[in-house]
Amino acid sequence: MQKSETENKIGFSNEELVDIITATLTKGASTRMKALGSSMNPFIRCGDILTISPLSKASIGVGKATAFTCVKRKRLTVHRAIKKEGNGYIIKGDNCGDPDGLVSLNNILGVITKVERDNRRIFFGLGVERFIIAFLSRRGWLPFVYRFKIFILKNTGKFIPANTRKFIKCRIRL
Amino acid sequence: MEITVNLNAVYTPADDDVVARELHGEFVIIPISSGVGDLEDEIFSLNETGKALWEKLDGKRSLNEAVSELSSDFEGSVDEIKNDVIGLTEELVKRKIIAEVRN
Repeated sequence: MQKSETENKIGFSNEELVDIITATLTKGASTRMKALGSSMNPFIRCGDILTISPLSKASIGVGKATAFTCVKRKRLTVHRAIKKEGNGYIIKGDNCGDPDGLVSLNNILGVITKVERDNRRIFFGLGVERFIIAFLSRRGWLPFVYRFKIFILKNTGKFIPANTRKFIKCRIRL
Repeated sequence: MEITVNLNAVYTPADDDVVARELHGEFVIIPISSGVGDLEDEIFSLNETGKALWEKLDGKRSLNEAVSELSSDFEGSVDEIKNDVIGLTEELVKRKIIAEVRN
């Protein structure tokens, strides 16, 4: 029996990934997997480790990041529920211009309950602030707010690029 | 933890704690540990003989029966196959992927 160290070693196709995640969630268990892409920047970044919990264990609601099979992208997607509508949610990526559309509850695989980055748990984006994020996202203002924040930080000399943050963390540990 | 495998015992997958799939000709097992199936750090793959043994761990055959069936399907002495079966069964029991059926 061999332990597979990375997802790429086996290389799940999208259908296989959905099948495995669905099978795991159906058993009432959560799934831990790596996020790819930048559609949920800055709250979820490429390479973050996500824990997807079944709807039986974690309730879905406006502002929560959800895992579902996106009809538009034809693949497993993690985006935020920004508005309740009928028996489903309007879902949109934090860094996307357009929403994915209405996704019925039946097509939502699970809810993101934990985000890990560089072996640290990231809380921001999953707490009560998610309501503000959903509101801004619904209005299409979220990318502008984020860019404005970066602009202000850069102009006040407080902006620290992501790769430098790691270096500073190491320096502090020393 | 010391695991003792009994060749007369019958083993079966711990269905509630395992997701097993065949992907690209590879047999993949994802154990569910502490309520989490970890696609990042805890994926195991079985080779052809491992997969053949997995299929025989059906809760009906004893390991001895599985060994004799495998020795007719694969090359190698019965002792070699028996050692492989014991080794893999120990590993799977240790990781709570299979469990002994107790009557």
